[in-house]
Amino acid sequence: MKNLLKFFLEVEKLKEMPRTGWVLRNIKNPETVAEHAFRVAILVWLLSEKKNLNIGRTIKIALVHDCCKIYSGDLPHFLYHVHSPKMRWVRLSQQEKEKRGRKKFELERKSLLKLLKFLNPRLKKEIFSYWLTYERRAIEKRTIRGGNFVEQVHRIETLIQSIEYFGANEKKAGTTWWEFTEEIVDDPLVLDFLKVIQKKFYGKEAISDKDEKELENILDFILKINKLKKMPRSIWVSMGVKNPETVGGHIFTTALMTWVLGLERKGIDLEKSLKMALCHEMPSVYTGDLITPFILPKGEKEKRKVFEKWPRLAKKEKKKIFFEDYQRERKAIERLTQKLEPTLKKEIVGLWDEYKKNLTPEALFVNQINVLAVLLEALLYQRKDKNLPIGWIWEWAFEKCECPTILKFLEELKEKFYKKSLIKKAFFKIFGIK
Amino acid sequence: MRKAKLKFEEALLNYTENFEKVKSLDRNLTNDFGFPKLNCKIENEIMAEEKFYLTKEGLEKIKKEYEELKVLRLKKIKERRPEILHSEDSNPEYFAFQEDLGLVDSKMAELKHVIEHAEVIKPPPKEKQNIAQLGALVTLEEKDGGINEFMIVSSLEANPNEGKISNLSPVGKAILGRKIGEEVLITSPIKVVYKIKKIRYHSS
Repeated sequence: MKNLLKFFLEVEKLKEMPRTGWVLRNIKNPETVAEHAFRVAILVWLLSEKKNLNIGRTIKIALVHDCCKIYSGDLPHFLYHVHSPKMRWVRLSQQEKEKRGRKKFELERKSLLKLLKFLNPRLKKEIFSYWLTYERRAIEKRTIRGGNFVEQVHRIETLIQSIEYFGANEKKAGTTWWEFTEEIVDDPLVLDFLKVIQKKFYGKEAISDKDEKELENILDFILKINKLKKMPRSIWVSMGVKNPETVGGHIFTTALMTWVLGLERKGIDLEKSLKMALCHEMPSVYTGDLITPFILPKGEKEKRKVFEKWPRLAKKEKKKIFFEDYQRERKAIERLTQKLEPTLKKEIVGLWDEYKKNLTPEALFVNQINVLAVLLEALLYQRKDKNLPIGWIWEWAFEKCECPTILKFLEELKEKFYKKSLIKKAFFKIFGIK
Repeated sequence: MRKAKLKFEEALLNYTENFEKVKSLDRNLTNDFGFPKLNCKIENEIMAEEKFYLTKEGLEKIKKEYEELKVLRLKKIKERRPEILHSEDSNPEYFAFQEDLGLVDSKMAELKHVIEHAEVIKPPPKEKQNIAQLGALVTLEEKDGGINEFMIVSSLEANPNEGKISNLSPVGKAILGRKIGEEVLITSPIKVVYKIKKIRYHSS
């Protein structure tokens, strides 16, 4: 458990790591690597449904595809400075591309192996083999395994993000992101999706196929989901945390924790749990990030006081608050998914509903993981601000968690974050210092 | 003990034989790693009758990987075979070993399939070497003198991070079939125009 905690603490760094490409293009508050991975995972899920791929596997690849950047940093492709005066993609000889590509691969491979040392051999092997197929270092038939598919979706997501930042405007965006995408995409479905993007933003003719509408709706959905990459979590904002994680970043952590800790929890469907983790906060696109049962006063100082303890409420009151929240969020998720293909819509709304109502073993598990992700984040913020009132999260965790693996993890958190202060307390007690 | 060993060897043989018959990696029959589960006997639609166009180096690389896996497999069986004392059901080591072996075997089967169905890309005759085809290293020039290079390979071998692009990608498609001196429009919504400066094939 100690090693798992170390692993998650390292992965948390991705939530603070801005993507280099955007930094070099002077984007203010650009998306982080974790937020990018979050939306890639969602897009991979939606497109994998149409390709009959092993969805659990492709989602996992999407979640870990950038974990290699923790120690190497977010290296640009070809170690190339994207801020070229003409804002265009790399022009290099093939030999130079190969040389730089290999160098980048080696740096990232070392970085990933450094991270994976915290995991058990099975998980280490699993993540490393996923990454190799993603990096095209392992021969794979993409129709079956999906590493290359995820790589193509990753570039599509980056292209969409570039359009969100710069608009469909050559003067602002340059040709970089289109060139970057068009030299890699060769999967028929992803190529069709690319055409739909052209139609949406550049008014080009798209495919005249029945799939076109479905792909257009997936694109609209993904554009709406982008809001979560920019939405700071209300709870941290209300508590006065500076530069807090976003909803997208939180979903990334929750999904990764669901996978890693889910391996130790027998009797749950991991693919379903992963999907549930990915959609558990989707209603926030319309409702904003709700912080009930807390009710905030107006003044900043008073706001912080509210978090000094977990609200004490009667059962009837709790039920009322839950029902009001549920109704708002239900409407939001139905609105968000209304244009998606009916089975997909049903699946997403159903998974969210299960999660919200704690209806299945998967829902129970993901709910607990959600608390764990919030607690881990809170403890990290408390390192920077010792007066941050996080007692209520512990209370919340002890109310919700019952899975032995998660309880063990909670113990590990206590050990890690409070051990030193306990030693200090003991020291002060022995020497009579108050 | 001897009985248990025999049983294990029988199971291993059975698995290997079945694996030879496995021609499909259907998603419902794969384990968490995306590899086939033991003893699945299903016909493969995806793997059947497919040709893989590879460069000579690409094929050699795959063959080398296959040979390495062969050695690794033998080593695994010799060194790491766990003893089966009671029932296999209660022997986690046995299952871990089986799973490891399964990974190696499925990887080997995949590589073997590629090797068996591979066709080495041959350079075209001299009079056609001014046309960009599969296996060509194409040098492109922009109006301002910028030089870019791509090697066009099949999807299986493509790795744009090393300058090898798939013949099915928009960039690959735009270049394929073009001659030296011709203009190529690469990017769809935002235009990038190149002139083909040079085309080279490995043996040329």
